[in-house]
Amino acid sequence: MRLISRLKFQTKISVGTFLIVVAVALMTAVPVSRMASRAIIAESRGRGLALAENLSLRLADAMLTQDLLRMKTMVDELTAVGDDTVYAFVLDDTGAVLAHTFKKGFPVQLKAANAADGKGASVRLLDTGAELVYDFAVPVVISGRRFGTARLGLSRSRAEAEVNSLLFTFGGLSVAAMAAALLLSSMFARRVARRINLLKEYAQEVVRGNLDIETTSTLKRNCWEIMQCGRSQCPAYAMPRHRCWHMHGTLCPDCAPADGQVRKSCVRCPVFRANAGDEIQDLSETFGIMASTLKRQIGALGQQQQLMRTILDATPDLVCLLDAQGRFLAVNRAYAAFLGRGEAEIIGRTEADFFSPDESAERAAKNRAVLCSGMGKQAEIRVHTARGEQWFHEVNVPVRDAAGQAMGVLKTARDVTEVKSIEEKLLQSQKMESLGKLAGGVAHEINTPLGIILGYAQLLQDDVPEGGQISEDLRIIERQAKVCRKIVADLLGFSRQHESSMVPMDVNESVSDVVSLVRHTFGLEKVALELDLDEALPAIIGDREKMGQVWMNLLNNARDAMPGGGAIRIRTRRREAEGVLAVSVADSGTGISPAHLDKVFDPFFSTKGVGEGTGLGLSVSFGIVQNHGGTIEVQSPAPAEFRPGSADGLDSGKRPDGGNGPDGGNGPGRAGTVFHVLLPLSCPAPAPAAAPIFPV
Amino acid sequence: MASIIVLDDVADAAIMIKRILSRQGHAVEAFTEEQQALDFARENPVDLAILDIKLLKMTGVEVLEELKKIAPTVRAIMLTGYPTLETARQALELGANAYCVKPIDRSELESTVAAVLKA
Repeated sequence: MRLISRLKFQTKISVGTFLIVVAVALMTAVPVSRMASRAIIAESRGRGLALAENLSLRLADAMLTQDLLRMKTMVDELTAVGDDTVYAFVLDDTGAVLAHTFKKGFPVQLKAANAADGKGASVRLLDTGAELVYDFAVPVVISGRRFGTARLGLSRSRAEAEVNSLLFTFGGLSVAAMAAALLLSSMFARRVARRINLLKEYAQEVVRGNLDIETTSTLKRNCWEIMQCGRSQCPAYAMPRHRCWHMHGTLCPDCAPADGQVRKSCVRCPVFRANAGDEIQDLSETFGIMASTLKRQIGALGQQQQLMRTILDATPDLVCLLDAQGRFLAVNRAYAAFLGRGEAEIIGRTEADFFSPDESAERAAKNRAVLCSGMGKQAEIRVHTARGEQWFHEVNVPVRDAAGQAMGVLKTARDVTEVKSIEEKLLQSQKMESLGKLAGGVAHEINTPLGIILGYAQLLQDDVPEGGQISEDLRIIERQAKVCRKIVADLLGFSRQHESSMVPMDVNESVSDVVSLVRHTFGLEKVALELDLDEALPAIIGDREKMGQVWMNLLNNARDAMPGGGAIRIRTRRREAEGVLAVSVADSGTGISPAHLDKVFDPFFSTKGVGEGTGLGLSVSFGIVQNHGGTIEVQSPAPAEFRPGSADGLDSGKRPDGGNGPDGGNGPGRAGTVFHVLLPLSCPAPAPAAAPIFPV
Repeated sequence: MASIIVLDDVADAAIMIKRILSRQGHAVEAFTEEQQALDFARENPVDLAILDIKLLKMTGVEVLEELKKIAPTVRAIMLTGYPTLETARQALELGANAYCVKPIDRSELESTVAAVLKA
């Protein structure tokens, strides 16, 4: 059986057809030959009997007249009539031979070999040693009396020779038929096998991944040409290698849906009648459509997979899928990057391969808990990585198979380090705000008594002799009270930076208001103020009070930088390219050393002596500007166009008396420092929660 | 020398300013009640009023407004422990000549008063 199953299909068809022909030939030739030989033998016996009886009848006269010559002639005639007549002789009623055809003498044994008993004929098969002979014995009866016996010997071997000839002919014909059958079956088998082999090659191509195969040939006339339909939206339209009866959704009105009933309606269709092939053709066409459908589905699946992969890889969250044993089944790009390994290195391994024993044990316990309970869990976890401490919001959910059994854990982790940091800053900010309010409240309450202490300390100095101990003590009280006053002022400013009231405001107006407030005081300290305002500035959304405080702080800072007097130039400009509005406050002081430039916005940073400043002014200003979505930049030495006394826009008319750098102090022209407050033109709503209190 | 009134809800603060300015030779009256100060201004010529913004019943700005009705030429210095641009602008619009933040220094007070009286 194994040998048969290993035979090629073509051989099987050829051998099978041949064997069928052989079996049919044998089944027909053997009985037919037997029947034919029996018929020939029977016909031979019948003929011999007829000849013997005929001889018997004709012998009657000669027997009555004892005409031996005539009898001799009659028996000789019989041997002359057919080749198969071996002998003939006549016996009288006593058994004496009256005539015979033997040329070499009558064989006496022959007389007793057969006898006609009664009136009927007797047929015996005799073996003469040379051949088999049918011996016919027919009594010669005249008027009821038996006169003798007519005997006739008919060769059976000659009849058998005829039979053999017949059998030979049959055999020859059968062999010729078998040869023809073998030839035809081989041709048929080759034809069938060639098409099946072609299909096998297509199948192998499909297995190799090549789905661009054409299993069918083009037609002489396609369905849209036969039907002249012009329906270009039909899926069968302009598809010369796809047969319409295999396709879904064809638009022919006579087309039935492509289901089990399709062929019934197609049988009458002229397209089907013109183009339909045999079953192998059908198989081939179906195979082609199957391959193209497979290609389309694989393409769609590939796109879907790519889409899913893109989504997974695009998300910054760490995503991984573990099986029930804790082995990685899949990870996304962010997860692989987190572990610092390639995706291929991670798949199939466990968390124990990448994390410390303690951490991996903890993770394994969490995974088991999710698998056992079947419930998702989420938590915020802290992880120590090469980048330092990171916080993740981790969500672990069980993944179930089709039977609903938990087969793994899908883990997603979002880096919330920044959120945590912001939360901490917010907490800190809230603490500082509370502290600021408390400090502000205390400072405000202290202000009045402090003023009285300061005032009386100064008054009392008039009442005691100058240079004495009491006068010196009072000066110390006065100095320290002034230190307290400065601290209180800073604390008040610090406490007020968290309140906010955002309204449309004119920056020029805000700057002018502050300048007019301080102009007199600054004038007393020989500090001149120059205004260079861009009249076309747009309004911004901001807190007038806070921005006023910023200008005030910057002006105070500039004044403090010029203890011997000098000039301050305030310039407002719209910087269209950067989308900002710039307020630049430049002084003619000594400038800031490069070492201090990047520290000036740090809280409590001050170059002033002890008791002269808390170092909160610029820090508070920075926080306010940042809350407005802007920033403060510093340049020292200031570029020429910002320096006080530069040609354009000098507001000389508003210069106070005695200003403009007297006594060789910090007069205009010195490099000094410029602070640029940059505010966005369309200022966003403030985000006090996210804004740090101190710039970092 | 000038006639000056000082109005502050804290008596010690008002008296201290009175002490400082009296030594300059000015005639100074200190008040803690708004109405008393206004009454004094109605009955006496006043050159300068030093007004705290936060008072017992009114604000310093409201007192200034009333005072200007009584004596339109009176000069004014506003004092506050809690300065805002809003009150500063209001005060300047009503004719205040200076706006000082508490606690005020003796020399600052003296120079401010001198400057305001001279202007």
